[in-house]
Amino acid sequence: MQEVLFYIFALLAIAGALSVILQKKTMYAAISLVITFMAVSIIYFLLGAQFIGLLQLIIYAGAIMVLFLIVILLLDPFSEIFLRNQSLAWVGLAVLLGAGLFGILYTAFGQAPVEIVAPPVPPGELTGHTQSLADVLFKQYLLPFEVISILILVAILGAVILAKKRIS
Amino acid sequence: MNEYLIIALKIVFVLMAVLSLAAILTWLERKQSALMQDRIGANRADIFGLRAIGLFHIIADSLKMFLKEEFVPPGAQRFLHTVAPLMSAFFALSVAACIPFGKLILDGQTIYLQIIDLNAGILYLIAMMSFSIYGVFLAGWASRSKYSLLGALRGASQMLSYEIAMGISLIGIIMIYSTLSLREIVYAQGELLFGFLPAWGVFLQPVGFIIFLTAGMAETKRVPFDLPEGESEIIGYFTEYSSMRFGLFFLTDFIEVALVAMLMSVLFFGGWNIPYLQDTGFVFPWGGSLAMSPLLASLLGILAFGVKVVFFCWLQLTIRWTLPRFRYDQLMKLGWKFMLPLAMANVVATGLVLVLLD
Repeated sequence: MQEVLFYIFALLAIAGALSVILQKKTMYAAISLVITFMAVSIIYFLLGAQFIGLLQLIIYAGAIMVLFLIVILLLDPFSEIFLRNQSLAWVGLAVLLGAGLFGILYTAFGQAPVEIVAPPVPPGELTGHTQSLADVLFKQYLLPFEVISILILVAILGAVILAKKRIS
Repeated sequence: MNEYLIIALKIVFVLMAVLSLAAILTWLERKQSALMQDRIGANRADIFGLRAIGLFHIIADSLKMFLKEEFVPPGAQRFLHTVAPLMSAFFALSVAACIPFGKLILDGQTIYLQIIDLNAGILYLIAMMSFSIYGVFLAGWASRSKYSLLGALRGASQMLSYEIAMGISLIGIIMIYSTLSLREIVYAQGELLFGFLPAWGVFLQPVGFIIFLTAGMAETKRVPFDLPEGESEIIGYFTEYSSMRFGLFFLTDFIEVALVAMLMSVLFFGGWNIPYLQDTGFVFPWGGSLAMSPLLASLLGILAFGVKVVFFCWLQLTIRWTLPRFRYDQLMKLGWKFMLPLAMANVVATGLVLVLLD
């Protein structure tokens, strides 16, 4: 059952991701991205990581993509913007970069000693994931966590300063 | 197999409960507004002369919606135009999946009237509520009409703004009960504070409750927060919708009213808990007790949840017919400059109190 669901949603995620780059209309591309995010979050659920799956939904699908959609809507609401890039040089560069990324990931996963497939989660034992994640974040890796939050704070302040009206 | 049957029954129960409450709310809204404006209200629909204080208007309305012509404007994006109302209703209904309606104790076995108790239930609520933006947004965009587009823009920005305040107002609740699961939150609210006060969210998080009430009403997109709709100015994101497609948007609003009422009872008013009622009967802090069977106690709990939900539906309808619509800048100021800082201050204050008490 879980395996079937995994293949369904993995295919959906890949189809959505392909649709993002193949769609000609920006709005449809953005909606395809939403579908990809949802499918990925369901895969997290299947692995038993409810907390991360829900954060994926709230942050990416629920907040960031809505902002994307609003921006697309404000740019040019009715005439469809067509995305086109026919320059062969760019296509070649994209293929090269993609192949490079694939190579890096392939070697990384090939060398990794960790078990990538999560142990099957018995039904009814889906509790404690938020707690165990919190234990790791706030006890084991407290310093890196705080450093990352300072980084985000700096980014937010930068955005505020960029958006602020200049008083001459 | 038995397990799957119970889950299927639970799903049917929850869907029926939410949908019928939403349907009754459409009638209640007309009757209550009539009462508040010194009118009689809808009472004309009858079956063989039987009027039943206008209750048949629910059936008449839905028949009308189903039988009207469906019209898709020529310039519209056909597919998204059709899907948008479905999405709107789907995400609103899926919120109900993790709401605990009550527990039923049969022969010492406890059956929870809750489809699934997620470990991160509150996050699920926030996620599903944030998805309700998509229905509004896509409806407005796919209709290809200026008024729909204005409604969609207003709707998206309003819901995005108030979601943040709503999410942060719930952090206080999470800190106090130190769990994200709705069932555990309800259980924690069954305890007593200082021996006599029920540990309900509203007593521990009064500020959080007020923020949640306001943000919840903003999420339902009804007066005083009905800028995405604005009947008297732009009609809103569903301008180009007719028949049951419009009906779904209309129903979604009422489903959301019912859901906000349910969430307020679960998170802030103890869910199925009745003060001093335990599984074996009432135990009063001043001495006396009243024994009863666990089945009766659990049934009383479900009834109590229903009463709380109806009360909050009434409260929302009363506010809706009392206040006028906000202006757009007032709406944004209230959301970003008042509710968001207040919610954050609430989190900090809760944290300080918890650390001092620890």
